[in-house]
Amino acid sequence: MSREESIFTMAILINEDTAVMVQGISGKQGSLHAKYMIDYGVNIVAGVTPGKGDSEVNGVPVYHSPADVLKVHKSIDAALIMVPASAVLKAGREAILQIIPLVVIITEHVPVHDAIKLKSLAEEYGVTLVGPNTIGLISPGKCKIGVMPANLYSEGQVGVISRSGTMTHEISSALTRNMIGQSTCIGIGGDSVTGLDFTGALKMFLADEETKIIVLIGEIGGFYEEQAALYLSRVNYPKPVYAFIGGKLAPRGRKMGHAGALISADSGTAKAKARALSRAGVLVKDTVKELIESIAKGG
Amino acid sequence: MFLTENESKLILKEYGIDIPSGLVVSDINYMERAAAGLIGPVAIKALVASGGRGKKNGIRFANNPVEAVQEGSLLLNKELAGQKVTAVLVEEKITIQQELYLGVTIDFAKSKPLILFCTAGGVDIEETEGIINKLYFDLLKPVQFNCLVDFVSNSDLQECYVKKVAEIIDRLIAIFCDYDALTVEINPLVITSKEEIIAVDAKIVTDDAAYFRQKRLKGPGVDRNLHPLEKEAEEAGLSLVLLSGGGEIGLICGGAGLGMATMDIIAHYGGKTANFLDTGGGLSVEKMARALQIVLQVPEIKGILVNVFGGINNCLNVARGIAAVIDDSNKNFLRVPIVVKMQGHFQEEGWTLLKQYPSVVVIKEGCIDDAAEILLSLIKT
Repeated sequence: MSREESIFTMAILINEDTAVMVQGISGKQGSLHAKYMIDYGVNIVAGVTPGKGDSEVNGVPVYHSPADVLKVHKSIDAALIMVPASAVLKAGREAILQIIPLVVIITEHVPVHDAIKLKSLAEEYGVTLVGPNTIGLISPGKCKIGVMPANLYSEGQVGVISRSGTMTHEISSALTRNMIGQSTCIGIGGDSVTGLDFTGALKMFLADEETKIIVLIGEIGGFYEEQAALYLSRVNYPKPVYAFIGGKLAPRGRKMGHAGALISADSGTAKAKARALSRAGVLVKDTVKELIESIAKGG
Repeated sequence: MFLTENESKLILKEYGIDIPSGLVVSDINYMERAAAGLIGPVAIKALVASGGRGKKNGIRFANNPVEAVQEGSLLLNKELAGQKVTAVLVEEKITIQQELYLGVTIDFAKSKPLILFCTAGGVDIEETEGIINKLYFDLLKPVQFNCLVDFVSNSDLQECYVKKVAEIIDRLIAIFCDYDALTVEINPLVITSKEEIIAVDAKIVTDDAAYFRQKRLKGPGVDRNLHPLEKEAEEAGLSLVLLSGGGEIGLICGGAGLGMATMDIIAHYGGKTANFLDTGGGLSVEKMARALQIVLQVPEIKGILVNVFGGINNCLNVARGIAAVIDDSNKNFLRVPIVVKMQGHFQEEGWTLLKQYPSVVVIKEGCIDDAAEILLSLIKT
């Protein structure tokens, strides 16, 4: 599709027609999650595994490179990258250079320099980069590009944006149990350098008619929550935004699991982030139960 | 990984940046000879990964080899900033005319690398009263030398030193890129009384995630300050943080964000978490079993909460890991209740497997709040 058309479908990033290319499809995780995606009805058009072009995985033709895929399949809307960390830079660069509009990197422990290069390249080519170190994204009932267990998600009007993969499952599954469905849930990833951030996703949800309520799931480390607070305080954001910020009890100076979760000299605590968002009009809740109850009442 | 001052300086030297003459001493018996081999007074610096050593008396000076032994003894094998000083760097003391600050680092608010330069160095960069000049650059495009010259000229540095400092920045960028550094810093970069430019202190921090292509380095930084249980966890590929102040709940979570949220919510309901543990993705049966074995060793816990999703992980593997530990254990174990909140891929199979263990309570539907409340009520009874 043309760049202009793709911008419109990018409002929620993925839908029933999204044609997906899976890089790393021949690996254990790649083939397993490709299968789950196919079972979900996702249109996986091709896979990429260097050196295994001309093979097949779960009925999907495998090619040597994204360039080879594009020679045969004229239109790829999204690339899902599940290759080892040492191969992410190459896989990501090749997908971006083919101007595939959405590139999702699941892989964790990607070197920071590589993430910086990919983010810069994606911006230069007008590609939406999601991740690295993410579960991916899902528009329940339509499409999923990632590793989330789809049974926990249901179709509806809440947009979810999260730095934590499993917290996306936690909050989305709680919403689902309470008959509150989700429009699109996006894991932006847990690293210090990621493609899409909260602000970018908020802008996309703003333009999307299906999304009526947004939930931000943040945590200690980095600047995304503060940047989102700045954005929200400057625009008259017409949809209610809720948030849960984890890490109130995280000790200073200790890395909590993934690379981005660290309170350092210049990056915020959970309390500071919650305060910044609150001041910008975000409804910040302290527990999952409180969050769900608020959304159920507030509508 | 935090390289020591000495390791950092050797890299600078390799890239053509002048450093003071010096050597590493780890045995006080060699101190006198080491100091005697250097010309004039010496500086003796504790080799620890710690900022602000000067303020903590981690840097001492001696006018002669005998004094060097006295000063060195105050540092070697003593504690400094929570670390044991196993070695010191003994180097010629530099006569300082001016101290500059030079660094290449990453602005995580913009996800871009940048060069920092200040003509008032020698102090914590956040505390300097000088102007900090910044130049952002692109990892995908080499920085033109004349840009560096312009950048340095745009400060109050004397004209005669501009080109040389620009050359040093060029070398620092090369080190930054070649070593997958998060920070490369020279503070102070000294203009000596003889008008030479010497890196009197250096700090390089590298990205552990890039270790697979950085074999010159000794290894991904194993934090020397970890508690033995935390080290054990790290070796098993788990991320364990023991929390201070006691705590009755041992935690195992699939995901750092989930772990932190669980800690916060447990506190909301009046409980206290003893440890954070992130299993990470790609959880095997063995790794899950290790996680449980390790958390069982956390002192004073009265209950365990396992909070995982089968997304990239698999609920059946989680169940098998727990089962393996229970099957293997003695009677003491059964006194600690375990609440397992688990949903996602292979959930039915995992739930079924855990049904046969009476000390395990499985939550099939329910959020963190529910799990916390149930475990806390089990602990109280």
